[in-house]
Amino acid sequence: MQVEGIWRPVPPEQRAFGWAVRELRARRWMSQEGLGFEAGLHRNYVGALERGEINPTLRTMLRLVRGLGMPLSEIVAVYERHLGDGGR
Amino acid sequence: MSGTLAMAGGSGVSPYAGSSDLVALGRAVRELRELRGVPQTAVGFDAGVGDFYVGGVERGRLNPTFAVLVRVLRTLRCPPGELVARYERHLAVIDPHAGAEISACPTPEALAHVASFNARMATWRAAQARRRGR
Repeated sequence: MQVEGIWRPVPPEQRAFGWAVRELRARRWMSQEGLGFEAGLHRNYVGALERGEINPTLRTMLRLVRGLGMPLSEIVAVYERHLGDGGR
Repeated sequence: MSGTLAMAGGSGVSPYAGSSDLVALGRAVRELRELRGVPQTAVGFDAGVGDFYVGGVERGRLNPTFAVLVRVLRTLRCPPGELVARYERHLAVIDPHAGAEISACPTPEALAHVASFNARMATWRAAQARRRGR
C-alpha cells in the first residue's frame, strides 16, 4: 500500500492479481464502486487492489470473487495468465 | 492482519478461525505439503514465516495473505490453480452450501476471540485511567 510519500515496488504477483481483478470487473461492465458495493469493500480499496498496492487476505479475495459472481478458480486462471509464468 | 497479530505475540488467531473457507484452505495446504513430503518447519523457513504460521494455516486458524500463499506455493513448487482446485474440493465436502455468500463473522470461536479482546481492552483502559488519575 502507498503510505505518505513512501514508494514501494509492487510485487509482480500482486500486480498480476490486480490486473486479473480489473480485467474480470471490466468484462462485467462493473465500476470499481459497484464491485466494492457487491463485495463489501470501499471503492478506494478496490482501486488500490487493482493497482497492486494491496496484499489481500484469503477472506478478502473470497469477498472479491463473490462480488464478481465467480468461483476462485476462475480468477486464479486469469491471474496465472497475467503472471505468464505458469504461476510458479 | 492476522499475520501481524501472530508476529506481535497477540492471541495469534484470526477472528475468522474455524470458518469453512479457512479450514478448507488449511486441508488443501496440508495435503499438498504432505504430498511433497516437506515438514512444516521447512515450508515456514522458505516462505519467510514461522513454522507456527504454517501450522496455523493448516489448522484453519489463520487468514493468510496473498503474498504468504504465493511464497508457500513457490516453496511447494505448485501452481496456484492446483491449490485452488484442492481448496474447492475440500470446501464442497466441509460446507456444500458455501460459495453463494461469505458469512460476515461467525463462528463461536470468533465471538469468543472478540469477547476476550474486548475484555483485555477494558482492563487496559482501566489501567490507563488509573495511571492518568494518579
